[in-house]
Amino acid sequence: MIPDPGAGDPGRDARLAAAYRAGARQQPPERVDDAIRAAARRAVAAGPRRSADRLRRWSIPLSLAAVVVLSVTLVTMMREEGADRWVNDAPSPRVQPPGAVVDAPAQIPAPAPAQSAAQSMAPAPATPAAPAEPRPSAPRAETPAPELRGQEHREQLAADVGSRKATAEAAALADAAAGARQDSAPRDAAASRPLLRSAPASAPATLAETATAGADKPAVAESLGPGAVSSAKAPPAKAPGTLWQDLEGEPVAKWLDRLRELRKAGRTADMERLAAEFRRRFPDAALPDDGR
Amino acid sequence: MPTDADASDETLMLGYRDGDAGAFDVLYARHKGGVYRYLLRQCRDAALTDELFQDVWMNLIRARDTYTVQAKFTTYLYRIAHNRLMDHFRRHDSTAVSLDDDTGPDIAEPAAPRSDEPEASADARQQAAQLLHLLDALPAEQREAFVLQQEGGLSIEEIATATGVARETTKSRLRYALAKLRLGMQAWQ
Repeated sequence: MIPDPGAGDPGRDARLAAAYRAGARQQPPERVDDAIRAAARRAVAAGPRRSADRLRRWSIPLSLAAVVVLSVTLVTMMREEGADRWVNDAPSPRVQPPGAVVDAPAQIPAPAPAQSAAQSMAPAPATPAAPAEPRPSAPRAETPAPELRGQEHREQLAADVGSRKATAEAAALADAAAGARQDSAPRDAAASRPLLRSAPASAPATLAETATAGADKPAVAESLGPGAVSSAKAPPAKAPGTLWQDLEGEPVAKWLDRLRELRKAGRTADMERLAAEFRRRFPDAALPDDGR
Repeated sequence: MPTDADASDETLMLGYRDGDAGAFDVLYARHKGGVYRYLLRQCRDAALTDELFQDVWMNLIRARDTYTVQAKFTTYLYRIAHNRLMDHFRRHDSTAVSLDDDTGPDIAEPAAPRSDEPEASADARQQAAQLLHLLDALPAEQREAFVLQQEGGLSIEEIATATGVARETTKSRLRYALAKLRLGMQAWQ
């Protein structure tokens, strides 16, 4: 057995150390040396990776920034939601007689305002086509169409998407409409609206309106598919560009005044268009509560 | 930053951290043998030693960004090596590490010196071989303490830090190791 070495500091034993050094000569293989040195140089060549330090240093500012961004986003979304309510809650300007021909909201449920542009571009479920006989466009323009709820919102989203596909489809639609205009009576012009909604904002509005106003329904329906026909809407009462032509460069208050005028006049469709344009131009300005 | 061959280990490591690849070469040349032999004495397998050795230095390279001088560099380096060894032993359920074993088995009787070799160098080689034989017979903890003292030049406190045990435990291990080795080497005194 080994005797108890005692409780003192063992220190160093020179003789054992010399004997150990004489026998301890093993070295790592050269290939291992080379691999390690190469890895060390690669690490240096890759540049300083002070990510851990940087993360620690920026953790608090990044957290604060994230909170601010989230808050601003939330407020913006709530503001837009409020604007939609303001528009959608506008009273109906005219009470339809019981036998009047109006769009049936139950047949064509309006998509939610928050629906994405991609969803609005997708074909809608098949529904019965609109009646073949032409409808007078003026009353329809004044008729409050529930389907128009969120339409401006969708237009805006579609404009943001700005896909080339939509542009091409809009152009094709215009061509088809031009060909069909010669032998067709005015039909449900909004049959092509889903595609036009998805067109970028830069697409000429007059072209779109021309295409939809003169389109023969069967011809356009063939090119658009069943979903397009089912989501037919009333044509706009006024060309969108003319609504705010005289408001170019005007302050927010003027826009709000115009919105109030349209509301008082019962021009819901125009008001919605103008409101959408207002939101696009003044995203940080809130629509007033008195309009709700 | 120019590499100074006389610079301290800590300075070289800081230099490497800041992008001086030459500093690493100096550092590596200084300590590669010690670390390699430390691992070899503990795992006793050349191929495995190569693998562990490479891992230790790769860990050091990866950790260079966060390196700060908080202890002697050799303590830091051998701590990495010790941790790598422990990982290996745990994964392979090795019984080579037993934390409570401070006494270990009795040392085998040392081989008698061969009197038919008149050369002093031959005698030194025999002593070295005998010492390594005795070393292999030591419990892993005692062997580790001795090798860290010899290869890394670590003090008791530094060995304790590198192996993650109390100072008194380290002292006890080292004391037992030296006693057994001295006893085994008595024939050459």
